[in-house]
Amino acid sequence: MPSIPLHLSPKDPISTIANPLPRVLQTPTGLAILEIQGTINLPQASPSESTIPIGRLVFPDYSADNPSSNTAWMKRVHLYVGQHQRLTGEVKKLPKAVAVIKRRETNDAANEELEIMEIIYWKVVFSSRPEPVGT
Amino acid sequence: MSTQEDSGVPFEMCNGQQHLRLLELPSALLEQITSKRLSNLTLKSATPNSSSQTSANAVLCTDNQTYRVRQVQSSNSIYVLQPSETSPEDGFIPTIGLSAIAQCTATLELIPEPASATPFLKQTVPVYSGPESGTQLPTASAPLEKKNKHAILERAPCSLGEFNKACEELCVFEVDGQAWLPTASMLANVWKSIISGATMRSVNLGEGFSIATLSRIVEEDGHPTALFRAVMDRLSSNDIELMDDYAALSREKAVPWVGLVLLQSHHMSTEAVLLSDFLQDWQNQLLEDWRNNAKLDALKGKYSQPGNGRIVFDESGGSASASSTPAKSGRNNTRKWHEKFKNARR
Repeated sequence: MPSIPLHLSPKDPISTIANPLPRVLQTPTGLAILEIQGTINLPQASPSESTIPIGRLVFPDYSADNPSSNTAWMKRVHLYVGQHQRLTGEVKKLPKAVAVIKRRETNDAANEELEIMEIIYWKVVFSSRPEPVGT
Repeated sequence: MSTQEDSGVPFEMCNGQQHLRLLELPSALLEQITSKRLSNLTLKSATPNSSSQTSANAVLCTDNQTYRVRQVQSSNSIYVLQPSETSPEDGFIPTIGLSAIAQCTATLELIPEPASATPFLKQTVPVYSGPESGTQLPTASAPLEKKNKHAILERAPCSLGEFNKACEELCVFEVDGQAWLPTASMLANVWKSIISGATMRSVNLGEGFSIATLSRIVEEDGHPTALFRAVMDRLSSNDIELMDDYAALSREKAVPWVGLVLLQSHHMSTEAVLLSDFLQDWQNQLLEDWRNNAKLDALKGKYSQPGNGRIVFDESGGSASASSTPAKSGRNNTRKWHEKFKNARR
């Protein structure tokens, strides 16, 4: 049983830009969890592009001015996929907090080290079928 | 950003996906991590070539707690998102969107598993049954490299605290960078040497005494000093720190321990011993004012009486307290260890 250290915080803090998510979903590093029941069929990616656009995430009932005690907005989240489909989901508290773990970059390739990048308490989950929407 | 309310947050998939894992944190562990009371987490995973049925397992250890790691596959797509800047084709001002940097198909669950290192130590640590054990290593039949406690801990599926506790229970000791597990009869011999040395020098083991004096006597009887120290650690009172040269033995620890060690060493040589003989032997091996405590109650769950006024070592009835006893029947436990892992794999 080789032992691998699991560090409790990242060695190189992730530099964050402004976080576009509602406050409850924000974490210090900006990481968040999104869960879809099903899969997203991606178009063939051109290797030159660093990202593949999927769509937009909308929190229709959320307003930054809402008091934090107001959680009604969590019941409705939309994920528009491409031009014609929409998933409806919600913001949910994870039953147990989840640590996001990655391999730590070290000079010593022989000795693996892991680190906790972030601890996440909430997720956005889409468990219903996609519905068609007009553009 | 101004149109965010209307059009939402752009969502995209990162082309170079990272390899991230999600680990569910039980609330107790989470609290330890967030309050920064935890200094250290170690993931121990079995190597493919590691022996027997333990190979499918990984454990996560804090300083004194062990969690079994279970991988749970999910049919859902779980993405880890990170804010990212996107430049719209027609606009000049980059908008802030979300980029899925990793997809996790499985979540790691942690199941608290109070681990006893005892069975592992019995499997791993070479048995010390006398001074000749030391000279036998390494031989052709046992070409193992020297392993000190630290090297064994690296491979043990448990935390440091649990490991140290089991080492103390079993009186595991180290000589020249090699850890040894003394047999019950070896421990009984060491104890005889201690008690006769103490009588000779009128040392009262129950009160403060100098270890050095006793250590010399025990050493003259051919026992390693490290083994003597291990026995002292095992039996000394909790409320008195074992200092370099000063100790007091605890009656509560020593009386049952001596009984058990004696019973086990009988067990190794013969099948059953007469109860009356055993009790007398036990009492003779104790300090005078400890003798009244030498009752079978002290060995509850560790013996059985097959009849004819005889007694044998048998811990099958004492499952609850089984893991906290020193030097138990190795064979019995080995089997339990395997069963445990078999269950864990299901």
